[in-house]
Amino acid sequence: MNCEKSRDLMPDWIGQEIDAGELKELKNHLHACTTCRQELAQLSGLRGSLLSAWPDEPIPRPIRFEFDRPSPANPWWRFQRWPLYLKSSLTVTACFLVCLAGLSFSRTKIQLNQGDFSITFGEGTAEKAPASKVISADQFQSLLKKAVADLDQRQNLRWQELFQTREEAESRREVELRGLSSKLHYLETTQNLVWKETLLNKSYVESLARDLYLRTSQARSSQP
Amino acid sequence: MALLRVTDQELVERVLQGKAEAFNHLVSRWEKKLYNYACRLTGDREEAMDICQDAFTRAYEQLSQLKDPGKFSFWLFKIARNFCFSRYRSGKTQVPLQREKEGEDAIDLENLLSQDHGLRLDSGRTFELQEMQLMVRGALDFLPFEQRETIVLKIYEGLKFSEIAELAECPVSTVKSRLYLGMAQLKKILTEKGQG
Repeated sequence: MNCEKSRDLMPDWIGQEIDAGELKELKNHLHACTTCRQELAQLSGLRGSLLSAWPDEPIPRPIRFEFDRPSPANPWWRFQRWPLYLKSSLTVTACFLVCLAGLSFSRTKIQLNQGDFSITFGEGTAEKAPASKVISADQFQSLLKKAVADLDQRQNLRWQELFQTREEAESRREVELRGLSSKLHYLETTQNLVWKETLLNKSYVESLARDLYLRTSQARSSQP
Repeated sequence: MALLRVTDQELVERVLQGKAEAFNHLVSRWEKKLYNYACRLTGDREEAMDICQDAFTRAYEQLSQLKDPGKFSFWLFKIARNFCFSRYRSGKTQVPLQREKEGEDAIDLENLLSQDHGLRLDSGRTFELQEMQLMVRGALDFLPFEQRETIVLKIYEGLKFSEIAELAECPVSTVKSRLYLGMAQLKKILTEKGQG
């Protein structure tokens, strides 16, 4: 064994976890090497100094818990410590199940018939579903005709509503157009009047200018 | 006396069954050891007390997450260790951190002891036990957290290398290396100041 290997074993010696074979090898080396022997002696001495320098102390204030908080075994306490997404999803599921149980308890009947949604609480007022039965070809045809007639009637009503709406829109449009044409007429008349007035003003200004020119020229000719 | 025969595992199971008072038995069983561990790791009694309180509170809150109730003490020490480490990282234990960065030449143990404990070291003096205690404790402050932790767990708590490695989450070889380096560093500091 060399000094390097000896130093590798020193932590095992200090930690008192050295096995018998390695201990024998180390001892053999220590007999021969003064440096390693001194180092190990110093480290062992330091170990003793450390132990005597810091003995166990009593705890200044004993720790005791007042168990006003719930125990970790309490399901509610455990639930509170779950992640938020888990808590919220479980709560929503629980609410849904409670609603479902309530509806089934009150014998609620929910129906969706040809687009008409109906909900009935309790057994007394609920409409019993017609029992299934075999019908003849004539009955089927008459039922079919009735259904087609119903459909036609509904379609006619829709058409009538549509026509009525269209007529109303057209009449409104006519009224608006009439109003617009009268406004245009008024605008045209007003513009004509303005135009005439402008022309009159222009001729008046021209006559004034001509008069002034004549007077000026007469005055110049009368001067010696 | 009957309580002494009850194992940690049984006490943990009692707490999980809803008998919360059983946790106080666990506390009284481990508080002194945990306090001394935290005290040696931080070098501050008040801080060690706070860490103890926090570690037991955290242990109670997370007891249902403990996979092996038989390893309660190990788990508790790991919680306390994490608290110590986070306080060390957050800079609450400023003195060792700063001294460590300044390097070996800047270490002034005499100054540290005179500041912290009102003592003065004279050259060639034979130290009394109390002074030696202060000197060793002061020298521990100069070590990095990992080396100090390893020395505390090995020398004072008597844990095996494999247990320390599990606690510190590092290989056994690293633990041995930390112990050797820490001891060598301590020896150097104490020899220099003993001669000085």
